[in-house]
Amino acid sequence: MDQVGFAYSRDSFKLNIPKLSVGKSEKLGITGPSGCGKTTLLNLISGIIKQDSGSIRMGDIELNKLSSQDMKDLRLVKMGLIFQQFELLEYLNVVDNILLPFRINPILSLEAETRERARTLATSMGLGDKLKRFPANLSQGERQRVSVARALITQPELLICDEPTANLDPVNRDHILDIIASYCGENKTALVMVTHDQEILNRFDRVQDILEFSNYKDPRRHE
Amino acid sequence: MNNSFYIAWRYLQFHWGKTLLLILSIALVVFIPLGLNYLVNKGSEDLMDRAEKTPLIVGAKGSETELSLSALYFNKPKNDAVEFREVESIKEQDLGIPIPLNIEYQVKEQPIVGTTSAYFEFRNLELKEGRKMAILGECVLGVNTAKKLNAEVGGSVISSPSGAFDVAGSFPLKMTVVGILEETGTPDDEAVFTDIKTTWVISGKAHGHQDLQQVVNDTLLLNKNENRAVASPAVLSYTEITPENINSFHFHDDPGDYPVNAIIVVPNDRKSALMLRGRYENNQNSVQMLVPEEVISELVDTMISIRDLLILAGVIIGIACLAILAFVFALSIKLRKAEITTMKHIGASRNFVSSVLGIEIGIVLILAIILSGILTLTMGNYGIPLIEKLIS
Repeated sequence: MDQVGFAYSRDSFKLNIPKLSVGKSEKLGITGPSGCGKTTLLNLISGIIKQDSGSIRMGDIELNKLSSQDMKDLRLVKMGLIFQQFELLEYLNVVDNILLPFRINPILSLEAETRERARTLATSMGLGDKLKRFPANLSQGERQRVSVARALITQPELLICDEPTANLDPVNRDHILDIIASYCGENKTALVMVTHDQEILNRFDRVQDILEFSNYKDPRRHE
Repeated sequence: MNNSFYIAWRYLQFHWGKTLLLILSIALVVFIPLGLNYLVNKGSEDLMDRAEKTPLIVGAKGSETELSLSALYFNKPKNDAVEFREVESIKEQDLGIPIPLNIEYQVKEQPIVGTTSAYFEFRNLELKEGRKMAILGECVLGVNTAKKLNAEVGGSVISSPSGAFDVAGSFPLKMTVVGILEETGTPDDEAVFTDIKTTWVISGKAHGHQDLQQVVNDTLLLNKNENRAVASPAVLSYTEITPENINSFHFHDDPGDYPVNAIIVVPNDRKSALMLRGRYENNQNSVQMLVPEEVISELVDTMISIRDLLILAGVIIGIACLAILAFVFALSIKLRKAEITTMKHIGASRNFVSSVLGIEIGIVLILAIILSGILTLTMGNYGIPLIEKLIS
């Protein structure tokens, strides 16, 4: 990201990012208080929203020059997204949820090899005996593992995680983080993860405080 | 498209209760006007078809509709009977063939139709097995009647009293089944056909008993001389007509006075029909002649008017229901906002989400239309007999 500026029209919030980059295999942690723009930063990186100024590049591709559909295609092929609220489809079983990226856009075609990869991935995450279960019949930790598997099934070059362990107990949290770290290490995948959890900051190569880029003022400091 | 269909189908399958409710609701909204229209049209066609095939009907003055329904559908007659001499009178005029119908009695729920063999020729009724009735006490069954009464050729059926308080008014007569008709899909399938004289035996106008001249037990006679013997109530009438006792059956009084509920008249030609109608129009006595096609046509017009009103009501209710369904779909999409956003964020193509939602609605609508079609066809198969049952 280079000289990126972004503001919401509804309030005075602004983000100004002079320079921010993440290299292959690098793990970048983003921290900061609630409401200071962490999710907005992830949305800018993933192209879900467009910056007002500056440029965002992924390799040689300049994101703001892509059409909306091209951006979606790029996101699907090159990026994996993991959300805090898991966002699984309640009416799809574990395998179908993992394979969802292959069903929602014709740029990826669903082959027998992909199905096998989904099963292997699920099994490696301890979900081998729960492939036909629906999200409502899974624990919190299991649901987040499905969500992680869905992000990894496309073998992305960049993994973008928005507080993926916020709703998990320490055991499940560590399990999920181990899975993500292992994948990134094996596939040389870059990781950008937003987190509030101070205990996991030592897992990242670099930690960026978003307050350095935001005009956000913490109300507690005024008091 | 396959993937959109897969996701849409999975959603409907997972929410099967909601899907089923939607399909049923839409199917009923479509079916009510569609089924009603089909039912009335088919019913009207069937009613008109039988009426059109019946040129003229003669009967006692009174309700034309009742007389027509009695003659066409063998409904229990509500008008008075006419005398049998009316049949003879038409025959003497030589303008057409009169076919008498006596429909006063039943075997259980099945109407006994006392007529002549001319009725079979007039309606082109073919025998599935056996033969037509030839002598007193024989009967031919419609195919459905044979099934309902579990009767076969060579077996017998017994007439029922004409009413709950008619314990002595009519004779329970055991009739021999000599034939069963082919299926026609008309009220003829439901009837017990017998000679009109047999129905007079049931009514008690004709009967058979021991030869009183040969009776040796004087308690059976009130009076006896060389020419005449008067029976006491102790003489029992036969309840079955057999080759041994058939000759003992006899009519009291003039058979011309005996009752006939309706007479179907098959005129020789159009001119004969007009002449016959003219004579009956000028007739001041208690007999009327009518054209069933005209009477049933009026009945059908009434049915169609009611149908149109009901369809209008159905369409208005349908529009209201479809508006509610559109609201339900819109609400459902709103509730699925998080799911739709997730798919868009992950990278769903431009039309994917709308195609999934469209296919879901399409599947529900198609299944609802198929279901309403099945309901309409079922109504066509089972509704018409129901209507005929209601009419009768």
